[in-house]
Amino acid sequence: MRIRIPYLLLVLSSFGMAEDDTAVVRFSNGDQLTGEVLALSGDLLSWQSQILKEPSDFELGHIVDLNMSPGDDDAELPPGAAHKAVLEMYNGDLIEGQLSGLSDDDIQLRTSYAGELTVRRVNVKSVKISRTSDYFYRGPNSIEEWTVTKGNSSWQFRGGALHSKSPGGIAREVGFPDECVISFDAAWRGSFRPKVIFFSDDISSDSPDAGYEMVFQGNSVHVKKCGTNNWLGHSTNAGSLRENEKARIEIKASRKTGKILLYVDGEIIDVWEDGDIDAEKLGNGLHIISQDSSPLRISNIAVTSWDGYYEDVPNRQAGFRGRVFRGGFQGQEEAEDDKESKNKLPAGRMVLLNGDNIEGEVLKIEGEDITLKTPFTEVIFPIARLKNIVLSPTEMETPRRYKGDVRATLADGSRLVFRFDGVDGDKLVGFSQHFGEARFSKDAFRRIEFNIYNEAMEAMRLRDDW
Amino acid sequence: MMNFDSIRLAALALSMASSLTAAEVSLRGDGRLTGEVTAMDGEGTIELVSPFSEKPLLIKGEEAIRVDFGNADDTAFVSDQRVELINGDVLPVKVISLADGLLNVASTDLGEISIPRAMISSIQLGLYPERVVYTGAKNFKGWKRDKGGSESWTIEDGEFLARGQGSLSRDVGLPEKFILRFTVAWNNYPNFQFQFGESKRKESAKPDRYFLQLIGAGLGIYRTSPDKSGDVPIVLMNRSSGSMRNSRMEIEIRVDRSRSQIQLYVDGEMEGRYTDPVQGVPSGTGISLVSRAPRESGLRVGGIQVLEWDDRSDRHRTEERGDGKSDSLIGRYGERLGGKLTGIRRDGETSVYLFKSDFQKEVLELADQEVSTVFIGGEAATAEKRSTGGFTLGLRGRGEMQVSSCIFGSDQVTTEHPLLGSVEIDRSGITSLQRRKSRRAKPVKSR
Repeated sequence: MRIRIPYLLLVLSSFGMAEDDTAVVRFSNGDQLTGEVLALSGDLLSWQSQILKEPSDFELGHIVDLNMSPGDDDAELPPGAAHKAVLEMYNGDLIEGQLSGLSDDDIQLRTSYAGELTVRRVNVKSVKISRTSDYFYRGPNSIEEWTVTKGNSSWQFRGGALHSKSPGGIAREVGFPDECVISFDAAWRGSFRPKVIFFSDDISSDSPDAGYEMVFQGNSVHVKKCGTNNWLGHSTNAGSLRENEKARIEIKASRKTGKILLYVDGEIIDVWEDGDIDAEKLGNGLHIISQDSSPLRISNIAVTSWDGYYEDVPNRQAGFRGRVFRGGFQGQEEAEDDKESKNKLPAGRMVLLNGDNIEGEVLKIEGEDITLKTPFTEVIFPIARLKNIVLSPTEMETPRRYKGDVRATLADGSRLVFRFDGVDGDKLVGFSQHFGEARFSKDAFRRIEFNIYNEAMEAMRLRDDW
Repeated sequence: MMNFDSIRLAALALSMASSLTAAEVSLRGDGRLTGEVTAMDGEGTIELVSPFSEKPLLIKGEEAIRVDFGNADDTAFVSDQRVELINGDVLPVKVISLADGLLNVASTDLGEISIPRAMISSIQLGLYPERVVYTGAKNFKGWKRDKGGSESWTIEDGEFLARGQGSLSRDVGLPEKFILRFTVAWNNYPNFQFQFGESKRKESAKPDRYFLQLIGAGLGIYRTSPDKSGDVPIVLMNRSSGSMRNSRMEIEIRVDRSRSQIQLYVDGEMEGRYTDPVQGVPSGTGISLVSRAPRESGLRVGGIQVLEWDDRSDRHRTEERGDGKSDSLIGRYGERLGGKLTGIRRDGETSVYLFKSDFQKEVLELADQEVSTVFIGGEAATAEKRSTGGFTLGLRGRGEMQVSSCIFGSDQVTTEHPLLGSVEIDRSGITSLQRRKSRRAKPVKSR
């Protein structure tokens, strides 16, 4: 049943009090205006901007999207959560949370943004699990939290991202744990050629004496110890960086073992090792350096702890049939179908964190534990040890479209379409085919797209802000 | 000749039409709003009627970087004369008279103004508006893309963007004398051709055309002809792409096919005049953009303008002021006289310039058709330029004016000019408004 709330108005007080405009509204004709959301109703966006002398109301029918910068109170998983589950829905939605129950019809998910959601299993395509981790840095939140090296101003903070259009670096201190994961979203024009320095001992310089620098050049990645000419090696495995103009970069580094790993879009690229590590000299600086004038955008930076585990680098040479000769390969490339069949998990098997896999049926989820019925016996172990959960096949529902559907991107990475029914107090009320009615916390939203079925707005929606 | 009342009437109609044109307000922080600017008060607060808001938006003056009123291409009622003031302002006006130390001018947008002689740097006559043949890129309508072009060329933010190799072409109806203007930008190394004037002879598969080529090592203009093997260089500039500022160039090519003459300007500076060494000229009327770069080059071509070229007004770009102490009069054919401009008077439909040469007893009387430029000498003529004003107003007819303040009413804009005092301007005559960062204006003392 669709709930109608009389005079739907949400006062987003925490936005309105900000000293700087931290949100951006974009209109169908390309106009865009920074500011803060004062209120949101079924038809109108009430907007306050430092650009404008007084608040103004805009009709939602002309608005493409609303982008909000991450705040200090980012939505986190419920306290004590050891795992994070991502439900991939058949319509492309991604719903993040902590698994709290599973039945033949539903999956219970505890979320930070809408409490407990009961998600209909028929709409769930897959369930992916990962371990949670403490954040040592999450941003970017402003340019002020970064030190601009060499006094230049090549970097700007806009729309929740760091932008550069000329050579220059920025750096900041991060309380790195001994083993950490540094991850960020990068988008660029032309070729990807930044330099990332971590464990640096001097954030005022682009050339610190200690730390490690990872230099990207198209599909090639070099890793070097700062302050030396000691190159740890280079890799040409990052082909996707040459072919695309955006990627999720993940660097895993250990001061204990000297291991440095690079992942691009979740795929491991290479592993380097410093066999002569001097942890005493290493610092806590993180640098991002643009080396040319190609537009570069960095967002969703996170520094978390790493358990030191890593999977093997795929033997890309083995992807060739033939002998390896000095200077190159001889032989023919492996057929795509063969590659897929090798990577494909046998049906009904779940992958464990260490790479093992197990066949079984989920009996129940209780707390942080999952009970599986395997062909041999029932086993109980922490959900966080799994990488995925296999669901028994069901017939999927036909996806429905509702008038007033919006597409929301949330702070935790969830991305979902729901019918915007209005607001109730400080909650935004929506309805989804997946989980029925839900009340979302106002702080959870990073982007809300309106008029999502209006094809005329699609080009504007896809336009990158450079 | 039209009298000023009739001109005003026509301007009023134009003003009503131009009010329908959306103004674009560029805001601090990459923001942008479009709509109709209905007012601007003394504090610079802009009242903008947006199509998305029921009530007008009130934009704080200090937050608006620039306003473009969408009428920059409007060449109606553009005067063929301009007066440059000592602070660099350029007023597109008609000169009426010079008497008692005052230059009396008038225009449809500025009305009648009396300017003290000491405030004038030069008077330019015989200007002709450039007829716009094509401006873009707005969309792909009228453009043809080859197979590669369909895949690689897109439009973003009013610029053609190439992510790969391919070509775009269209017939723009190039006249015999034309000007091509465009900006080209790239990420790493450019590899781009701008071809123009291509025609084909029946007996030859090889086209006849000009093309500008920009590669990492430099820039050149070449001629491809069925009569010649290979491409014949006309202009060669050895300039590596790394040394090109911001990986961006503003190109202007002026072509006079009747005389096989080509002029090249890069970033506003003239590189030279060249003669096509190949006999005959390409007679085509089209242009083509050819990207030969890999996708990561991110080649961007924008601000394309194709104009009819009337070189009668070209001399104003190259004339020298001289020592600046006395007046200088430049004649229609480039002759130069030193002395003093003693007066200007009307004689029927024309103006007569009274000039006392240093070497003649008699005062010369020259009809305005015979005069190209008059430089007004004196100490103030060398006064610091472009140091005054809170705003720079763009004026229709390629004029520009710095003002300390301006207030937009419904039809008129009231400005405070540091040299001229209060000036009323017809709203439709203002093409842009830009807030200046420099200190506020200090009036220049009159001699």
